[in-house]
Amino acid sequence: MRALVVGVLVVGTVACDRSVSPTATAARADGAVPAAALSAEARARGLGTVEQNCQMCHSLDLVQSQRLARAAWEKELKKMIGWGAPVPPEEVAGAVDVLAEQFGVDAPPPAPSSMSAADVAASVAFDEPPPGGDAKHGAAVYQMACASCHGADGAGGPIGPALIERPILHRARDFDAVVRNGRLRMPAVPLDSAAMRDLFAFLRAAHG
Amino acid sequence: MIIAGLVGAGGWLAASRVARLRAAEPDPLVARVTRPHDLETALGALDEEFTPNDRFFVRSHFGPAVIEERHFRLEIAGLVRKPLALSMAELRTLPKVTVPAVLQCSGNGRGLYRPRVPGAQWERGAVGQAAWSGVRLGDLLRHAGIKPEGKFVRLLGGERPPMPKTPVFARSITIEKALHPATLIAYEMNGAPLPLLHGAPLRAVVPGWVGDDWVKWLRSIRVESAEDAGFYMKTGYRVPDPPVKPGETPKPESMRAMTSMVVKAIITRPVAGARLAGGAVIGGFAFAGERAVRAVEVSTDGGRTWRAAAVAPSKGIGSWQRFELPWKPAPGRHRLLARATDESGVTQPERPAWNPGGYLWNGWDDVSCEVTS
Repeated sequence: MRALVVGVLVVGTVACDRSVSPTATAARADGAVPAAALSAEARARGLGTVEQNCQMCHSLDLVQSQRLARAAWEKELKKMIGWGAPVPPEEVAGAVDVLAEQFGVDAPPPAPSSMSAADVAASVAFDEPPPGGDAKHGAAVYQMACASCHGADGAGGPIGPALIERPILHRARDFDAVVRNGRLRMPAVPLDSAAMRDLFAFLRAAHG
Repeated sequence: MIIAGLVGAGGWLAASRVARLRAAEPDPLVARVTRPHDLETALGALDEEFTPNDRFFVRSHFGPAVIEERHFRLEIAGLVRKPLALSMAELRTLPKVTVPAVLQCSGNGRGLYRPRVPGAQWERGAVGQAAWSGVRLGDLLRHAGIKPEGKFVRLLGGERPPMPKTPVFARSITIEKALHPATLIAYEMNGAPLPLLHGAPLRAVVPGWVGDDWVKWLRSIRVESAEDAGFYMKTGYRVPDPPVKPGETPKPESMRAMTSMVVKAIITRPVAGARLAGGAVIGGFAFAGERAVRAVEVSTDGGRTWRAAAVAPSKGIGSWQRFELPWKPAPGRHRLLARATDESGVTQPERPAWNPGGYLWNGWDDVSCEVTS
């Protein structure tokens, strides 16, 4: 079990779905509690927004290692929404509140994690997909099961990231796990093994 | 189920502890961002002239591109007389050139600026030197024939933006820099095939210039009459000239695209936090973008007095130079500082001017260690 968990940890996409651990009342370098602490409910809601809308592009350690004032967080979130982060408009203010509270200028920065050279190699090791995939049939599977979120051409849609030419295509097993189990805002998609194989063949061959 | 387990078991903090346990080999990389990879070289792995490939820092925008070599063609187009689309096999028939050159993320040291600025919080290890091998970009451009109105070369990377509204990663370099004999399109790093995270099958090597220009998973080279108008030339990777006060927002018209790196010495021996017995050598590397380094000074008394270290001669544009100074310390804690001066007389400052992107940090390098006997 330990090996499995560790393996998942270091192997990219699946590994990097995380929850944000709130520091009940945000830690500050001077030990003081911020004047207007968020309610537990507001904090949980804001952290949920961050978890659900940031990890399709990057792991949460990028968020958690920042130490920014509220105005800077507001600017960052606006930039990311402009780049396609699908944060619902009514959740933006709550997300800024929690980012400024949890990852504000006064909180001590977290210790970064480490990756050995072997961890790094494993995180990009190429999985050979099952042979015999039919890309043409895979295109039909894609249109039926994926296109509504990930875009008609696989280049990304309003809530689903691009799938063609993306790093996940180096890792057939991780791709398979995400499709079968779902991930964050993505539901599990029940495809049989032949459909999965064809879908993967289509995505590996697609460019544009 | 695995995902639920991780989330339920304390989330990211618990996860990072497990990652540290796993990292049992010496000098693991510091994971500033685990996906896409922003990995910093551990200081203990920087004491060699050529940084090992598997310890070399990694900077990503969107993560490694999926490129199948058998289908791959490098496009050379734009303001050229004869556009080309070259396979890897065709590229390998061109003269192969090897250059030693320092690759440094322009944000190396961002985590040392105050007030803090957004971005990967690199400290000292987003830098390394490799021997890069490949073809001269100038040779490719001469084959294609540059039209007289061509002034810039746009390098398009292969990282696929995750969302349709995310800008592509493209950089422009001047035609003069593109034609410099040390500017390469590389397919080998330290004698090995270019690793995937370092841009396989091809990356740009632009000695002396910031890592931003060393575009990975290179797909397209276009000769153009002006700088690319995309985010990564016109908004990102710019610094204010003149500088602003810490925390101040610069006027947009004062922002300039970065090109050459700035003068910098880094202490690689002893490693920060080391415990030493007896006499030692203070050593490290110094580089100054397109210029050579003339001198490196070391202080062992907090900057009151400085001694000149021995500095090896330059091995070419954009390479780093070894410096060393014998040292006979008394037992106790010591703080070591280093500063370099380039051939034009510019010296590494105690602290560089703050800038909102956190770029081009080159404050005096500052390492503490303990001597036990």
